[in-house]
Amino acid sequence: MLNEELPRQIELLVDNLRKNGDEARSLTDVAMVTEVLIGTMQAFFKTVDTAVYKECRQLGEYISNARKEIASLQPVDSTGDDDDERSDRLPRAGMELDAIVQATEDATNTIMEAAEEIMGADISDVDAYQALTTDAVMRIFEACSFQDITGQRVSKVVQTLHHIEERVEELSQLLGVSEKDILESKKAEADKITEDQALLAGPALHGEGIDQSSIDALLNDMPPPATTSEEPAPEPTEPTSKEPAPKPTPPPAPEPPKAVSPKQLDNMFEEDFDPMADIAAKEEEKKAKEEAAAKKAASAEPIPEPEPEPNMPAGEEVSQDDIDALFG
Amino acid sequence: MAVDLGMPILIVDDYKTMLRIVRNLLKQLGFNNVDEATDGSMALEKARAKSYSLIISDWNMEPMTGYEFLKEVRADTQLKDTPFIMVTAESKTDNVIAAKKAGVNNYIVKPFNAATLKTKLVAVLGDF
Repeated sequence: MLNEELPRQIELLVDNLRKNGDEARSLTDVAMVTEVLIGTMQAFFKTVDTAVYKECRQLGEYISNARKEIASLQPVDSTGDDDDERSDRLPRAGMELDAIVQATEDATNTIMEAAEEIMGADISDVDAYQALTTDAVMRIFEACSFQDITGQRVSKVVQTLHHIEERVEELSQLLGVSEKDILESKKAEADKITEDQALLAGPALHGEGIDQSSIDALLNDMPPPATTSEEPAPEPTEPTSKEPAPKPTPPPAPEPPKAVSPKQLDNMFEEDFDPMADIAAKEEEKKAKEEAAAKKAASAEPIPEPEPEPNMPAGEEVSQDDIDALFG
Repeated sequence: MAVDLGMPILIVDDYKTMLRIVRNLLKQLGFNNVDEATDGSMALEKARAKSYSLIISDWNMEPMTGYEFLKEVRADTQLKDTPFIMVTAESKTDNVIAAKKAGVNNYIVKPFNAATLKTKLVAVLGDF
């Protein structure tokens, strides 16, 4: 490299000067040496310049690439131009998911209400009974359309996830994230997860997990005491946990039960939630919603059909009423 | 004009559940002669093989969308007069206008109910 040559060249020049002893130097000698020196120095600085420049440029490119990748991940476009559709992908995906949760909840409620109506119908009047069941069944069919709509929403969310996956992949390549880094961060994450959290994987995918018969088999194989000892204390049905041990009563304590009774088992699984209260709460919420909807419908009814096009802003979602207006 | 409840109807949707729902709602309204297709090209094939009195189609399907299917139907001399109702979750003004321009007879936004379906059928076919 040049920077190694530089001292050597200067050394050569100096040696050359020394060789001539203390003879008087002519101006031409000095000029010549200086020229050589300047030439060498220029070459040296030039290489330093280009090297630094190259480094800087690479750094700049690297930063701007990283910025681009991050920008494409950015949920909201801060510049405000929304011609780029992905600018609002993330919030959109969140809204889609919320809508899915809402739609499935509404459908479930509608279906259950219809089913309850059928169950509780008065069967003495056959005609009324038939009308009521027909109506309820129709509502069940209508409600089932949530599957189509949520399906479409889910595929949109999946698209967004794929997009993000690609971006992250590119970004990590750009930043030179290695397999080792990934493994390390995974491990660090795994270390943070508590035992309880590790058990919260959510619903299994098709083919994952075990089926009910395997679970039954597992439970039957399990020695009964294990269930009691593993279960934390708050067991109201378990008199044993309340009794402190230092009671050496002769009749051998009936503590270690032969098996957990079905009732006890139910209690173990249902301790925390009160289904009745849950249903009641849902009921109330539903009622409030219905009332609001009814009010809205009542106030909306007397309004005459709006004129077609003018109140249909382009690009916006329109209601069935708006569409009806179009078809006169 | 009396509506023949036995008229052949073609319903098109890529979601099987939706086909089933529409079929059941139609059945409830008295229409029993219903065929199904799961995308525009399949529907077009069926429509060319058998003369339908009504087509009810979704928009968003692969490979051929309901919109393309509609345009094909309107461009086909044999099929061009078939009543066509779009039933879709696409609810942007642009969609409705595009569909109307392409010659759709009516447009129902999902989710919809039996009453809406009946109203639109009456609007397109006449009272029944």
